[in-house]
Amino acid sequence: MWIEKKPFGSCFELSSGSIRALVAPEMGMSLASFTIGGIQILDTSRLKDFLLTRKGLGPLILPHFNCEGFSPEDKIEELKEKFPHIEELEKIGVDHPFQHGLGRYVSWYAEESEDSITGFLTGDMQYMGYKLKTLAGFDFEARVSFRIAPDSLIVAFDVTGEKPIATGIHYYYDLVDRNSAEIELTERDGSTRKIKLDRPYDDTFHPGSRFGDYTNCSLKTRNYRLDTVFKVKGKPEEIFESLVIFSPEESGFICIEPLSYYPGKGPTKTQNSGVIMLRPTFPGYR
Amino acid sequence: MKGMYDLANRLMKPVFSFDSALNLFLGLFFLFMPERASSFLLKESLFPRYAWVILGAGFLYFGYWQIRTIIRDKLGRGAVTFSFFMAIVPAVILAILLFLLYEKISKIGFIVLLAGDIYMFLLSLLYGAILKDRWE
Repeated sequence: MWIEKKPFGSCFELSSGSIRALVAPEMGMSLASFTIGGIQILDTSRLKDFLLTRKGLGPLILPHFNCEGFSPEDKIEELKEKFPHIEELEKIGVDHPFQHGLGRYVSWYAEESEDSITGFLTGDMQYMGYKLKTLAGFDFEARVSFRIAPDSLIVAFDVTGEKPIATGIHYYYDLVDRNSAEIELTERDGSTRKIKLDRPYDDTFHPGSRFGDYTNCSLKTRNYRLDTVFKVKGKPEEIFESLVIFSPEESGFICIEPLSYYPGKGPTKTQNSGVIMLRPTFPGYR
Repeated sequence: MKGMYDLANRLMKPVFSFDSALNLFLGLFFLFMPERASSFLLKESLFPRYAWVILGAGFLYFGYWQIRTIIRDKLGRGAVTFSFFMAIVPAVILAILLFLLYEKISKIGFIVLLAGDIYMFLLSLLYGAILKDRWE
């Protein structure tokens, strides 16, 4: 169901049982809200950061990550007029005009069905007078769909690029209470690692499979539990090779970011059709 | 047991929303019409005017907090625990007052207060079930 939601514009609401998600195509196909039983899972205190620089709520990562993508340096001054977030990024020391990927900063074309919404971007699409392939530095096509299942939200990517691409999610989850929050993940050697979040955390993992070809990163907070399930074995274009965990000091959030490649090594794949399943529950549920 | 918890989960948000509207109404009524509230519920004036005004302000603030909690999607463990105590404690106090002041309460007042007391006990049951189901 489409709803008008300030300040996100037209949003598509997906709901099933006690789970509700709000997707904002005009805001980079970001997740604007994700709740279970009236409890917000995203850290809404970062709404202003989201609106200014997409550093809050639920932005996507594509078609590149971090500052590894093409940067249209000769056009920066011209771009600043049409993309005010560039100056805001500079204020916090980020030089790349589209840090973490162009996808989150542009408006998507979207089509809905009863239980899903799919957003599309192609390099030939124009935004603010520029072709997206000009801004991204290479031609690409992206299709991201959000589907609600009885107990989860499923984010499916289908991204191809003329050059290697990166895809993933960069959702800011509410820790509720830092001192009692923790995550549990499976490492490449099969061992389980529990991380208490009472201190800042910023690390990248090679996730190992937990069941079949899939892994699970489980976030436990005082109010809710969230399982992030994704494929780590199988066809290269279907897997997420790394998992970034980011929770800076004195913040009330944690980012759990499955990524199609390992940051720092540079992306190598020109296609990703990975799927991420987000399954929220209550701590008392087994 | 699972059916009861499913029902509690389904009822939680609508009941919480209804309760917030009820608290706002009662808050405004007690705050701006304390004399009418007193004469409606009691046979004789037992409490000073300011007691009704304070009670009204309390209802109003609690109703405001409930609405804010719903809008911000903050119906977490802390909020439900607080709501549980905000239902059970006044329910117990009201039950004692109904027993002690039976003679001084009007007939219609007794019916309304008894209904309110039962409502608050049911609310505390709902919140208690939610707490047990989601966080224990």
